[in-house]
Amino acid sequence: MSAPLLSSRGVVAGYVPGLPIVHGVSAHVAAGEVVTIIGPNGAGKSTFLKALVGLVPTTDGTVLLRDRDVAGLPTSEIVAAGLGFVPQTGNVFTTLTIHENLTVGGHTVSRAALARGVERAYAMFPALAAKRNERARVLSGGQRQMLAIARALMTDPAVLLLDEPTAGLSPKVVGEVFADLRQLATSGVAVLMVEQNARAALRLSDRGYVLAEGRNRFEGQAADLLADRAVAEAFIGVRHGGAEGH
Amino acid sequence: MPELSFLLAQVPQAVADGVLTGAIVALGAIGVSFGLQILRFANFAHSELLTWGAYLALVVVAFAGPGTPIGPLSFGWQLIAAMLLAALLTGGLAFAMDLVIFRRLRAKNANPLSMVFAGFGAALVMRNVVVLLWGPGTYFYTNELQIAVEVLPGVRMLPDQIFILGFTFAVVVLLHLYLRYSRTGMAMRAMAESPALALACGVKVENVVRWTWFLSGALAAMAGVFLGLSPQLHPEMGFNLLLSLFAAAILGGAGSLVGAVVGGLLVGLAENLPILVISPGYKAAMPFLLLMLVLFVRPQGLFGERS
Amino acid sequence: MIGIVSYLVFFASIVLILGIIALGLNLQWGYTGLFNAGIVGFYAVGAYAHAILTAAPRPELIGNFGLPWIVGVAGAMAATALAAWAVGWATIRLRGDYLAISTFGIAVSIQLVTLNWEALTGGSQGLSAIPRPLFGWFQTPFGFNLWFFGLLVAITATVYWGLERILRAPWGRVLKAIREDETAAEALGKSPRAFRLQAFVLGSTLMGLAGALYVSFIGFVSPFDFMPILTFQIWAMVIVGGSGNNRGALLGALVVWAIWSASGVAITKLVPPAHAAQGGAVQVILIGLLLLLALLLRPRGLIGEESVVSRHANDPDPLGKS
Repeated sequence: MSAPLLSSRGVVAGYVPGLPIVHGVSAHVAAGEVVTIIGPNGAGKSTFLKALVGLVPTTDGTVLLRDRDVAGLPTSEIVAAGLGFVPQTGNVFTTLTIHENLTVGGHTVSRAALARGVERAYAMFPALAAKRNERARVLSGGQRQMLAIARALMTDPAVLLLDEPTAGLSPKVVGEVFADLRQLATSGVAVLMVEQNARAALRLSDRGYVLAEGRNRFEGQAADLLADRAVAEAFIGVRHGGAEGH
Repeated sequence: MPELSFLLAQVPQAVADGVLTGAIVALGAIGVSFGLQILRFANFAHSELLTWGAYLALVVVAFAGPGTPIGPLSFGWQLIAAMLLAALLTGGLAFAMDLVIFRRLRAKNANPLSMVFAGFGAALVMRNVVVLLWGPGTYFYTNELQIAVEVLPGVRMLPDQIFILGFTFAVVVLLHLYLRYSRTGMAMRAMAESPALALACGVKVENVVRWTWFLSGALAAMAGVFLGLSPQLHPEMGFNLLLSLFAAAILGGAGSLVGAVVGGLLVGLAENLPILVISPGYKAAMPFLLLMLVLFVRPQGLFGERS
Repeated sequence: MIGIVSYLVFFASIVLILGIIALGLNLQWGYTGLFNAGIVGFYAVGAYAHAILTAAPRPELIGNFGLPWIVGVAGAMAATALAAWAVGWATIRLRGDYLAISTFGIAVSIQLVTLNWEALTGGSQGLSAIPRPLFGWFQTPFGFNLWFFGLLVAITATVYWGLERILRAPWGRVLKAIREDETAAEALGKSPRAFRLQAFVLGSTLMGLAGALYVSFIGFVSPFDFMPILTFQIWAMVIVGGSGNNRGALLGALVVWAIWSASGVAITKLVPPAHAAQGGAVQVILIGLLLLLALLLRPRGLIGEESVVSRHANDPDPLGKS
């Protein structure tokens, strides 16, 4: 196993000063790995991801991205340093064309890199290439997810963070998205995602973390977590899909 | 019915006047529209940027003179240069306004209505600084007299007005191309749809905001100079247009360039057509009535996206 | 001596009238978060409605019904409520700043009506000889002013007491709940829009009441009593006093009006008459800067809100749950 591309240690984060939601979470992900974070509603999973990318203020802890501490930097710098983020909802610009979405995704890179990135994205998702000059609002849910992933890849990130990438998708499309993520990892990207679809996500993943009440609860090989009765009963339970409620 | 035919004969001229007013309103309303959608608040100080642009150009003209009139126009190239310089300066003023007031409020995560309020206060200060510096009276850029030319049967326009229409059209086309094809233009449109997602994409949101302020200020200055050409400058020139600017921006759909232009033209027509039948004293209330109508019927505007 | 006392009574009366407007704005802004940028319009509706209802008949004018004072006051409040309802009904469901724009628009439009509809409003001449309540009972204007001041104290106290009561009653608590967490309030079956509209109309009605009191104090009305700057002065009162606090609104009325009057006197003394406009501009710039500074440095005002509202209540999180 190679050294982690992203590793966080004791991250404390929250929207309101003095009221942290994440109370010191540590996690890491290496090149070629798919790692999933699961946990009950309100465990702080999503907030943790947003803290990694600087969308939620961190008040303590370190976030090492390729050995550089990026905790507390503005999101634009963290993205430029090699972290891609796919938000859960509202993750494409519906009034922009597919091509424009990709261009905005590559806002920080050079013109040449942008052109290469667009080519790569269309090669990876031919469905997007066919609709490149149409507004993203015409896309189906699964295609929007593809676009959101493609856009996050425009900066050629070392690590890709995804917040519930399969929420609201049909089982068939869930499989496609997971296959795409596995393929990405094979190409050398470190993939870290939060999933509510715990069982399916862990089957695809190499490792997993279980968060509860803003803290690390369990971690281990995905297969071990799936096999662990305590974890399965408390955090995986019977198969269920769909978006996490408010 | 002679009265009706007399009325109808006046319609083409009223339409022409409406289009001219509309062009100036549109130029000013683009900034308001950006403000509503990209900066996310109704900026009551925007109208003062028009006034400041007009007066800053006046300062340049005072130094350089209005120049020898170009052809039938009332002014020379000096006024055009003055306008471009005023656009830069007013862009800078808008930028400074953001730096001193609005950026601080954003950093504090202030309620958007605090921004509205701050704009309200800034407008008052800016308008009265104009009175302080230039006095409450009126000014003209030039003293040249102009003769209206008949552009269509029954429609007469001053050469300056034709220039204003042409220049505005060119600016709008350029701006459209800029928003459509440049990377910053795309980022601005992305911000207009979702600032949060733009941020998550790694867009330097603060830079886009500052650039938006600058552009809004520059466009406002051009609108202000045109307002001053037709025909005079006074401290309330921008303020008197504020309601028209808001009406045009909301009517067209906040954040939409085409919307702001169409909205501006409709506001111009709404100000100029009804006064054929009602007292001209109510002219200034027409944008408000149009605005209320839009808010009742289609609050997202003609070209706006329902959020 | 009597001169100073007489001036102080007059000054205090104006403060109370402005204080009633500030209480109205405080209900809209401080307690409900509604931005009214057309205060002067609602104030003018009340003033003109009262004048039209109570002034002695004149053949060239539509109104001037010569009705009793109390009918004028009630009519003024009803007319203002109607105007506020029309604007609020269309805009309160929309973005917060659209209400600001619409109210600003109604103020501009009302000013145009007062200037142009001469048959109703007397145009730029205004309406005069508006009966002042019980004026005939007093030998001197000072006597009347003293009585009217007493009346204003009683009315302001009633308004203050009434507002405090309804804000502590279930209605006020729902208003607060809506402001803190709209979704939760909605889930409890309370329509935020209806409650906001009620608060907006009630606040504007108080502004109309103040307009009626103003004309029946001064005895005439003209469009020049309703300059847009008044809207700003009232805002200054509420912000300086601390929005969401009724005592603050009244204190703000006193402080801001004192500063305004004193600076006006100072400028008249210091600035030659030829530059009166510039002098006036300085006065406005000062109050504008005061407000901006209050907003940037002391957002809670002089007294501050009575209880802290959760600050993240309006933190939108469009990228999904936290």
